[in-house]
Amino acid sequence: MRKIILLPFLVITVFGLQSCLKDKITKTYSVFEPIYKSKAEVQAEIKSSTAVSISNPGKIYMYGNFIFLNEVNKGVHVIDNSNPASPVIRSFINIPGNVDIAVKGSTLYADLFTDLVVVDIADPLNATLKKVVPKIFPERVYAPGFVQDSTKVIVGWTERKIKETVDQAPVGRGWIRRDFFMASSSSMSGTSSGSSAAPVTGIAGSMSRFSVVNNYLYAVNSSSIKVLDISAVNDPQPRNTIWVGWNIETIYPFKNKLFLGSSTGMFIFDISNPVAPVREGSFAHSRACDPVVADNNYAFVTLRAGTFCQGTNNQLDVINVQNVMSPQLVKTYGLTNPHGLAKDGDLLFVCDGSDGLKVYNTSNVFSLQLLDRVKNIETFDVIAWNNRLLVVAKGGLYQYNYSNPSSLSLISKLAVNN
Amino acid sequence: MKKTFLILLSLVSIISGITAQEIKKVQKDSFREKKIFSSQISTGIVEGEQNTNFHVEILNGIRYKTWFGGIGAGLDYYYYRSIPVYLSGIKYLSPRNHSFFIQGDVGMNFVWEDERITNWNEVGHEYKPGLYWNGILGFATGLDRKNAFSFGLGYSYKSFKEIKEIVVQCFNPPCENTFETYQYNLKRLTLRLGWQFNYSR
Repeated sequence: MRKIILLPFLVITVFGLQSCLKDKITKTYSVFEPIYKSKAEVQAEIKSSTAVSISNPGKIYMYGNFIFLNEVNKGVHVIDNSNPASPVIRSFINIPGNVDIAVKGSTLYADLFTDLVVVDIADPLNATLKKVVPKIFPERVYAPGFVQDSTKVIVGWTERKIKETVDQAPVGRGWIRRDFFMASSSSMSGTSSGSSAAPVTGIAGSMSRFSVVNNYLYAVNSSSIKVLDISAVNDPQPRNTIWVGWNIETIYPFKNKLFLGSSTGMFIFDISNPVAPVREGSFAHSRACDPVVADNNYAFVTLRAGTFCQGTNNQLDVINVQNVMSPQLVKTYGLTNPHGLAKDGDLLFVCDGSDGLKVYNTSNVFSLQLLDRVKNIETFDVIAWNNRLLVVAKGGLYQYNYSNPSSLSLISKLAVNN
Repeated sequence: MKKTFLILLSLVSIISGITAQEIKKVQKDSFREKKIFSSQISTGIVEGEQNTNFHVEILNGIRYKTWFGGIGAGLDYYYYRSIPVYLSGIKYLSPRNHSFFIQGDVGMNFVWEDERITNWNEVGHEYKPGLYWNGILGFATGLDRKNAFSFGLGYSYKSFKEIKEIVVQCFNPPCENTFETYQYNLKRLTLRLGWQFNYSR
């Protein structure tokens, strides 16, 4: 009988608990708010300052005994590489919004969000701003839904953690963060030449969007090539804008050609007339991010899937460009998460993300031979020059000797300081 | 779905009442044996704010007089499919074959879902386990020396974290990614029907 009495109690308890059936789902995310400075303040700060440690390395540019290493959206590290076994960070040039660099002579060209800045680096330890060319990269805006104060420059972001209760967390729920605000088209700027191309102006990594060829600076944004005359190095003059197509990502010069990588293909432009690049051939591929390098006969394109690159392919495409009007795919090689690449003679160096750095012999493009693989570093971009390899990786800036390409030897490492 | 739950609840109550009243003759009491290995398979539904879902569990342990202690694991389909793994304690209110019992479970809840990327800007998706507990009031009725049938009503909590790694658009790797974290704290009513096997020499 006592047990039966318990039953109503059970039922009442159950009904009472109905009010306690409220699911609680808490969402935590980051919101980044801009830190502004006036343009005058920012320009006054574009000069050499005390060396700072590397924290978020971007693109690299080698010029003589110096390495210029971009600190993403912050500026440029000036690294004295006279002794590759012991490189020394000499100074840091503050350039907010900077992601691309190029050097000609003693002049550094860098993007500052939408503007191009010209910095005299004759004395890298006392760099001085020479000129600001406004609105060269109009696409370098923060969008959509974010309206920047146009009279000021964003010099940084503060992160604020937001915690909120949500009713439901369905698949494909929203996201609000800096990525939402970042320009999808960022103009970024370019670099200069490829490994064996134009040593006069220095060497850029394959992820670059700047390229200096003789007296011209070519900068690609999401849809076009900007041509700037830099015969007066401190006074670049915009000369031309050539529409290319959407989602242009990288530029690589080789002889009198420019190879452009886009998320949907590779384009070849002839720059026999440097002011007016002429489109010759193109090679379409599935959607992916794709830096490119080339030699006389072949272009090597890495396709990377994931992130905003979309697509599903992680591979290396070898493309016959002997007839530049009609590039033909020779062969595809599977990779893990390829980024930048570099070429020196028959050697091809591929940054394969977390799968490390890979060295191939390309003497037979139908059967690339893997000579060496450096494991345990997450690589992004590479410059190969004179048996010395500069590698930007998650852990910092590495230098290797590749005189024996079957066994790269580490020369030095400038570690990232988190 | 709440109606379904209430209907099932009513049925269980009726069965419980009938069973309790009709069992007048005390059968041979297997509970008098001191230590026995006991295994229980149960299934039922969980009813929460979102919806009603299915669950199934298996519990193994040692029974000592009117006490039971063991380890259990299950499949819980509420919100996201998950596997609760827990320690369980049961107190039978009577040493007889037919007895009400109070059960408490405490453990961890492991989400068993594909960690697939669902948004174009995601590069990582993972689930982290969270706390699991369950309190049950139930009734067990012995069918013979080794088999018993039980049913119970309970209140259950499971939690876990879902973490999405979101890429920041930039052309200069390494790009700093951001994270979205969802903390789920889910509270449900449970209705459980079980079959219990007692092994003794």
